[in-house]
Amino acid sequence: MERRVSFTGSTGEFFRIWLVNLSLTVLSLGFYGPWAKVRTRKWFYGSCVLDGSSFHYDADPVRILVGRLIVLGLLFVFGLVQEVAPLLSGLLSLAWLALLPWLIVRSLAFHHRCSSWRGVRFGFGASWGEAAKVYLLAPLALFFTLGLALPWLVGRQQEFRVRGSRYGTAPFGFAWRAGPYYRVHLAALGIWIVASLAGTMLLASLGAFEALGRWASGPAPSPADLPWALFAAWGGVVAAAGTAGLAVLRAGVTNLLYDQAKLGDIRFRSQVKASRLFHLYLTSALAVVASVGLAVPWAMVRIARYRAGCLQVVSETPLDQFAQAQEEALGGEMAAEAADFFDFDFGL
Amino acid sequence: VTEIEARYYDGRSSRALPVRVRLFADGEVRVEGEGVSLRRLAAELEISERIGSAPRWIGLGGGARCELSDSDALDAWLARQRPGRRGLVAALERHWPAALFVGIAGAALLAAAVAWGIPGLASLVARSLPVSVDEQLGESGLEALDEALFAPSGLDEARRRSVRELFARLAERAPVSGATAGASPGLAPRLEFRAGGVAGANAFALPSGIVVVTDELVQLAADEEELAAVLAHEIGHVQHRHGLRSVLQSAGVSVLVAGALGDFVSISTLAGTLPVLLVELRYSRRFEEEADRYGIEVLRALGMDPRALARLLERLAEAHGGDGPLPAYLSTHPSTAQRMEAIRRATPAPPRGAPGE
Repeated sequence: MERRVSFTGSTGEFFRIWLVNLSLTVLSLGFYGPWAKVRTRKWFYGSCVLDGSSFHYDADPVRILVGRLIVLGLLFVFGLVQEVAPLLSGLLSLAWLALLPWLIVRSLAFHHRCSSWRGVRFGFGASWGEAAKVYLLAPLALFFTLGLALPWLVGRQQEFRVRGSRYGTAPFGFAWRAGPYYRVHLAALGIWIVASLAGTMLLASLGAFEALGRWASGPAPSPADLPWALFAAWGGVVAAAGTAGLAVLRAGVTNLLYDQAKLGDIRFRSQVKASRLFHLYLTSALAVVASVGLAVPWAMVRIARYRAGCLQVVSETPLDQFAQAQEEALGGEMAAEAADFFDFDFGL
Repeated sequence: VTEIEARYYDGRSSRALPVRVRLFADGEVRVEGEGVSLRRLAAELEISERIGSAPRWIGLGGGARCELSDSDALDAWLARQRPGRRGLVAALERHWPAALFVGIAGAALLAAAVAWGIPGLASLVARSLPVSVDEQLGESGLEALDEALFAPSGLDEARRRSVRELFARLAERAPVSGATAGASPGLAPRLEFRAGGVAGANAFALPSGIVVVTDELVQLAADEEELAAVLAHEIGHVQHRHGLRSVLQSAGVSVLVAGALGDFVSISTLAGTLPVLLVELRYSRRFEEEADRYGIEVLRALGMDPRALARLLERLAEAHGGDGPLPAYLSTHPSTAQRMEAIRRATPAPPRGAPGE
């Protein structure tokens, strides 16, 4: 049986939430930011409905604020050391690099633990070593293969994130192959190149480049009478081609993420269409520019609505057999408290 | 009694049970459904705040919760149980006029911070910093410019000496009138000669107080007054500590954008960089105007004609081929026409017959 995820939030409502969030953040010089972030997320989670129940997000904004202050403090110390002892700062960069996988794991753990459906929380558990392999060691492959390993790396990082996740006590599984990732990346690259070339050729056929040639061979080429409209048109063509490539990439990677994931007997099906995503991106970008940013909430809602509507949960049995993970089972009260102490949102 | 349809979750499994939540006027709450019958008091409940029309959660203790959509009924009952505890933010979000009012207030604060807050704060901080900070800031500035742009000056010693004397006379004469009251003594302007290369006829003020004037500019100036006008303008940059202040203002803008807007726009995207660029260009134009005003006062104090700057600017504009295609808000300097207009406005018509060589 297939159950569709639906998105129930309305644009006008979110516009007000967004406007109040933005303004209070500005009026408080940024300190309201974590509260704004949590409210936004609560609204988006609450607006996603699966099988009659909505998702729930329950982070404590104070922890996010503390996490940000810690990162700010670290950056400040780093800057200070760089100023005072440049040699030591190299060492500190290495320490920062070593800290990165740990921060990624803690951030994911924080977010998962704050997310729930039907009162059962999500969770994330992966070791620091595993994270280091995926986020520090594996990216080295990019360097040695001149970037050819990128699609593989994307798949590998998806595997890390999905396999580390659980819903209640049930772990997510992820069976993946590198081939589909290569197909998606090749398609995105191909669309980008072909669209750029086609657009450029269209401009050329309209006589655009003769105008440029006339300017260059003119008596006194001055920047004042450069054919600026031509540059603008060409910039638009390149931007549109880039957006098309991005849409193909995002659609493909999102579909791969859900299609290859499973939760017990449950499978997922994601049918994001690149053409639809391209249309959404392009019209949203135009509206945001034309409205000097006021269309941002509208764009966020329509993209979220489309993406939610593309997701299906496929299961032969009812979705009510998942058990809440007991914090005690993870190693007693101490572990739970330690996790609480270290789990912050680092904005990664 | 208020009755609301809800879903009940026991907190141990993902089973959903349809229940009826009954809210009594005396604060009692009953949750009833198949195999569920709970009684709680209002004070024992943990009720999530209202955010738009997202479902509300009622924590019943022990991990058990209810999810319900009828926020209006719940809030009406809640208002009677806990008077005075209303979600202010939720109220702002719910009503268009309130949301728009807060939005306008936020925009106004942002505009005020950009127009007055950051420049004022930067000027205050600059005044509390010793001039050694300026000097450190511009320490490597000239070397970098020498490598990238300049060649050694080809002016003969006599010409240099006369320009230096003019410069010293201008630098000594720090005006004290209202328009330049913020200028701080202490950072000593020093003059350097260079061949301009691609920069052509030009003059620069570095944060450390060094004023670089190119050979081309010295040659372009028709008389001492025109040269004095440019030098006085650059001395104005030095006296106002524009180098240090622009660094401080840039830092201020970055902090403002990252801190106040970081959750809403990414600084790495065009949407983040473009406003920052426009604001910094605006600051740059303001500094130019400030330096122009300073120059006008110094020239006046020395009995020279301030409109000499307008004359030289006109000649410069001709040499460089106009102001270029960029609109005013994309330029580091106010347009030549604007600057000449400002100079004319600040200068009463000169007495007949004056000034002469």
